[in-house]
Amino acid sequence: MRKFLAIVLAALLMLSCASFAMAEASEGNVVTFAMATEPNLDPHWNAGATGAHVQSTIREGLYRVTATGIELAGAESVDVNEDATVWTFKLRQDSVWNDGQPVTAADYVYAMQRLVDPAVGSTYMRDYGQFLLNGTEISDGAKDLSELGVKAIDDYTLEITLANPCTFFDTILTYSTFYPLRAETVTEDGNGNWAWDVEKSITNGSMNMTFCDETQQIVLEKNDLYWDKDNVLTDKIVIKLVDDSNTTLALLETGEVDIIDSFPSEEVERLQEAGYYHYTSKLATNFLLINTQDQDGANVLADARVRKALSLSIDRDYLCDVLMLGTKSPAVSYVGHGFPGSTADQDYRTEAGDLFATDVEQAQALLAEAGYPNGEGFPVITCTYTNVSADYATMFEYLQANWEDALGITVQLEPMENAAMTELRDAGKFDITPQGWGADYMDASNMLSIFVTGNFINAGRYSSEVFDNAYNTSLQTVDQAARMELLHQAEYQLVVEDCGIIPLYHANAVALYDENVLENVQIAANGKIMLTQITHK
Amino acid sequence: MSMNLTGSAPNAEALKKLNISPEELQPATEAEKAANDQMRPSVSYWKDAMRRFARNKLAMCMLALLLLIVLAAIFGPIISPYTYKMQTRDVRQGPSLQHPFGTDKLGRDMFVRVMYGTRISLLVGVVTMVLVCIIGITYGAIAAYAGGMADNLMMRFVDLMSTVPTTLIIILLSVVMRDPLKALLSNPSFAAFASLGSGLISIFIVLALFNWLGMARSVRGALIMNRRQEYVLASEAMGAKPGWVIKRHLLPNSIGVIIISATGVVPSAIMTESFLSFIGLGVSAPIPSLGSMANDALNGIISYPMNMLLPAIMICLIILCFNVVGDALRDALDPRMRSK
Repeated sequence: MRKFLAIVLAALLMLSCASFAMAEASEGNVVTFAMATEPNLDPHWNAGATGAHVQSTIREGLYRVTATGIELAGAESVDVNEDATVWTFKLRQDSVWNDGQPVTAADYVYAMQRLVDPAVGSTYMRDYGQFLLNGTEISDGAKDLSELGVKAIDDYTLEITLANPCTFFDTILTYSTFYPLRAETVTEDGNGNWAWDVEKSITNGSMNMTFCDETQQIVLEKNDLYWDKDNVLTDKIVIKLVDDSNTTLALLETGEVDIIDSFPSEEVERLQEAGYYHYTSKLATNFLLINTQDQDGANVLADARVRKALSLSIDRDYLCDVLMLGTKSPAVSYVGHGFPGSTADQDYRTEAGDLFATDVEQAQALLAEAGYPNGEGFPVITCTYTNVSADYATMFEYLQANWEDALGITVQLEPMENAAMTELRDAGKFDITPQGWGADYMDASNMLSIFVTGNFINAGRYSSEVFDNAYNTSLQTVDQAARMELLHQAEYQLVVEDCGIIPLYHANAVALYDENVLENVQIAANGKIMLTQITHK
Repeated sequence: MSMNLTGSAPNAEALKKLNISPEELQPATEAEKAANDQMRPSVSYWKDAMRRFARNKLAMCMLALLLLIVLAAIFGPIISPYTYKMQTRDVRQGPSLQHPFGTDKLGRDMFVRVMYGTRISLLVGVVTMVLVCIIGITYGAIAAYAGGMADNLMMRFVDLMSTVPTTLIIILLSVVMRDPLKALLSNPSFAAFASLGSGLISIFIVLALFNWLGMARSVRGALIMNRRQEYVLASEAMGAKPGWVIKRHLLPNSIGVIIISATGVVPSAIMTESFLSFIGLGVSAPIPSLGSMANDALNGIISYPMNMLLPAIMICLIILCFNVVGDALRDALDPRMRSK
């Protein structure tokens, strides 16, 4: 009996393997990709990188991101007036929705009205809405939707009027918030569930979503109606949703997925040797948010000298190169390399220079000046961070030991569940907590925008008049060199004068795949793998 | 012929009655006397139990191993030049003379960390056991002695408690208790406990809260059995008060059951603590626990398997030792329950 059972079980096992193999052997160029967090597919409710990634393959806006920069996509041509306040787009007449109807200017108008509509209350209502004429007023309820500075001149002409001059508005338009939407397909349910419905979701991108199970996988298939279908090299993209990075890596190594973009960082040396690890630097910065509020006068972190002492005592090169095995690049300021400077071929960071370097002696001097020589009398401060990231654990255990050795202060670590941490952070109940910010568009102002007084990402409640003035003036400045100068000022105030945050490192955009299996893998300028361009060897 | 030792002739009449010839009736030789003397001396319960335990070779080996682990956990961190939180620049090293277990991703000596983690595990096991004994014995004894309705209600409460999904509640409780405990520990009168950290203390409490049920049941059963014995009746008849009867008669006679229950608590407490630390609810970094060390190693499990294996093996060894020793103790203390 037992033997029989064993044979039956073995047979079942083999059968299940065989069925797996059959499922994999499909026609065409199929690329399987594993994604860590569940994407949000509603262009206006999404705030995450994975949502933007999936949306950029199934939807398309006026511009799209390429490996080197951005290019026109849904529009054929653009005409910008002299002070960069009126942008007139000629839409592509061959761009159609996947049910065959043409994409018209009215679809763009609807989408942008939805963005600022206070009744919808989308995630980036203010952050992106503020660029459009009357956008802020409409979000405040002071003006009617019809007064938004976005007009359809005719079916294929779209005119966008901005609240302030903005020369880099093209890079902003690449974000999913500005993709066109067909009004009748959208159901307002407050969380974007309609966008998951394969039947209802009418899209205009290079791929169609043909299967969608938000906990398991998303299947995208090539859209034959797409105007640029000849440049779409994949026939099918299978996105598996796997939240554990060890599992993701195991799936890659057993060949169940072709390409992944997150992995357990401690394995990097092995993956480099195996030729799996490919990366480019990412337009993102990880930093420590510091609670700068001082209601009862007892918050030592409200003193800029203390914050600066904490920052200057950190050896970022050691942290990144040794502890993180080179998977991160040390920050020398807040805005990283890769953003355009005073001219398009200049680099913002190179022009602004390094804003700090490790200096333990100065850090000790600053702490003494603040009244805590050798950390005497300094209260215990707590670092709160999510327990999901192993990198954070490594980083904070290093920082804890480092601050204790260099400054003589005691730091408590409190890793906690992600939702609990988000709640504490947003309520401002923390001393120090990590935050990352990736640029949604390729302009240094997007990196700095989150530290304007009152921004919701700025949970440390950093507030500086000098910063706000410089930043807000930059928004109204057309001259690129002058604008960059203002941003330099704002950044200097944030990072050096006030030390409102402690920048630590820049993450890398990673693509892990077997070079013997895939080719033509590119990482777009915004750090996302260009899934539709991948081919099999 | 040897002489009659008493000096007087045996009573021939009596011998005849017994059907024994006088020739057969000889004084005992020295050897025969010695044989008589070798009769088993009277042994106490404990001596008997220890003797039975010592005969169990596997258990003795495990006991020796356990002692070795305990000694290493106590003295390892003391004699090592490193501390559990000292970060050297030699990160991710393999075993060497300097670092017998290698170093972790922050350059901390793994030997010290594993030993310190073992210390935490053993501490959790022992403290939980003590707490469980206090709660379980008191509760079980009261239920058994009170009897009737009170017993019924108390034991139904135990049943109710055992239907609660323990792991879930432990996770919930340790989350909920963190902040109140932290506030409590910042009070200077609890300074002695503060060095343990709120995480560890909340683990003690939740483990004790959910592990005493088995102990209470066993104690109650054993006590009820002993209570029906005549000597208890006699004691009561002579006017002994309940507390005295429990302390003097019932508990000492149930000690075997108590020890068996108690040794069962230790490995399960250690296991739960490791699990809680693994999911990040235990001791706070940089204090290492075997579970949190395993969790730390998860991120590089293929490249640096040693960092995962060492704490994992240590957890296995501790639990194995406690289980085997506990099993042998049960056999030794309660021969009737002996496992075949």
